[in-house]
Amino acid sequence: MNLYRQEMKSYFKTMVFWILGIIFMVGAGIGKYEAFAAGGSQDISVIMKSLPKAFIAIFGLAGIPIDSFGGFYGMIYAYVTIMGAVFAIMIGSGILAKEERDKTAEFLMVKPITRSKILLIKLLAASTLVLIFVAVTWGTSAAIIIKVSPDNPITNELAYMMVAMFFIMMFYLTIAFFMAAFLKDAKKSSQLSLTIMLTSYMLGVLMGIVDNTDFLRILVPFQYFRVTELLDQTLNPFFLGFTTVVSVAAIVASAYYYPKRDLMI
Amino acid sequence: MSVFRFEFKQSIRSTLSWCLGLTLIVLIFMFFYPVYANDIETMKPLFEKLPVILLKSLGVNIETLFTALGFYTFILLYIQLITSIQAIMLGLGIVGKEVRLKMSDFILTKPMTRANILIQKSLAVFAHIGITWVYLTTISYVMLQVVKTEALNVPAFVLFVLSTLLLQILFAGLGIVIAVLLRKLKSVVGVAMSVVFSLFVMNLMQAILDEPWLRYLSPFQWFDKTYIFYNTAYEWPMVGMWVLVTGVSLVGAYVVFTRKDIHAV
Repeated sequence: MNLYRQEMKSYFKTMVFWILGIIFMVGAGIGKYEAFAAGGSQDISVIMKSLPKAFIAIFGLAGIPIDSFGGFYGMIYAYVTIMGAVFAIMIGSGILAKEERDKTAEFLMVKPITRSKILLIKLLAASTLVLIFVAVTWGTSAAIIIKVSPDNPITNELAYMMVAMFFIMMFYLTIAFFMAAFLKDAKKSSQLSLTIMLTSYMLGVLMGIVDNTDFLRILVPFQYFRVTELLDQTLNPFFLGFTTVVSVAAIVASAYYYPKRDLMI
Repeated sequence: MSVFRFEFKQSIRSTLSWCLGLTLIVLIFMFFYPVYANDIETMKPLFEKLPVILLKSLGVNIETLFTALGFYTFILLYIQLITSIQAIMLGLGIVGKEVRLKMSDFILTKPMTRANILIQKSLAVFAHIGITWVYLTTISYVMLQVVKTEALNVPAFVLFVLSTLLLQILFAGLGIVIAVLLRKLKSVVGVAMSVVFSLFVMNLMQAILDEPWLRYLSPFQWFDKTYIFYNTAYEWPMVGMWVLVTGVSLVGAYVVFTRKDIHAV
């Protein structure tokens, strides 16, 4: 558990910055609801319903019904999720690779602790950080929503969104973690994780403007749990299973490869 | 010029892969323009009935929205996201290399002033940015010529592609100054992703926030597409911001790097 404590300590500063960022995003975003609702968002959403998909995408609102408070919050949720994915990839690709990068691998490896144990403790620490990220988003959102929209605090919808966000973040985290465990070159593994994130994001944009592209959905984690579905209080069961299977597979593969590979010292 | 030559060579492969990614994006998205144009054609009468004020507040210009160039400005946001990540990674990677690999003593003991080292390294960064930009502009122009249905608005096109170059230079400058300022540069990808995505999501969130002052802090909004379409010009205050931030970054990097206490290990 020394290692766990050490990891949490070394990410303390990073975490504080991210927490401040989340509070700013959620606070500033939800705080704008009254102005937004007063600005006749109803009219706009009526017009938008009659517009082609591609056109709506240009406003960056793809398919989110902004005529209700839940829909409005859905936009903020979508933005926070993008940052969540960035956070998860940073942590996932950094937490293992930093030993080799900072030349501390020898120091750690000579300790009486197996590599698989190191791997699992680091994974545990990374998952804790993701949990903190989600918890802060959840807590801040709930606290501000109560003030802004006391009649309709969207408690259940919020819970669904936060669970969805957790799964998306864990998906990116475990993939980045696997890259770092499997590849020798830390630079390459983080670049690969970045490529995966950018590719999936761009495919999501493409899905937003082109019809009949649902077959691409499996490549776009941001689309696994759509805001419209979350507002109906459903988590797509297929993608729930899919993210779980991929995450577990990534962890198992990491635990298989990492103890065997040469360390770059 | 040996530092320049060395650094330039080191990044050739990465620039090639960035160019490949940009090619895919421009080709795939512009390929869908005819589909979009068909969809939107039926909507044109509906838009003509809407009040001009509403359209202006939505950032819609009927004359240009339906053109190939209008469609290109939509994907331009994402192209700029990607080129910005590349630019800041180049700045961080090339200037921060010695700090990251703990080998500052190697380069600083060469018979060369620090200013000379920094200038050559910066030139290598800008050379790669320039190559990427020239390539991107060429394929964009070719694709627009292929899919367009009416004459291309050349002055607007020039302003759009130029805004990509300005953002590239800005983010390269930020990368360079961050690399110089940080005592320890842990992960190039991590810093690059958090800086660029924070600013990018801030830009997306403007759809809700709509705070005029926030535009000054959000580089992705400095070269507003609608404004360019309506006026065929940049907004001067935003150009001022660009000059200020880029200038301070580059001069600041020079001032700090030539004076700071650099630890060899």
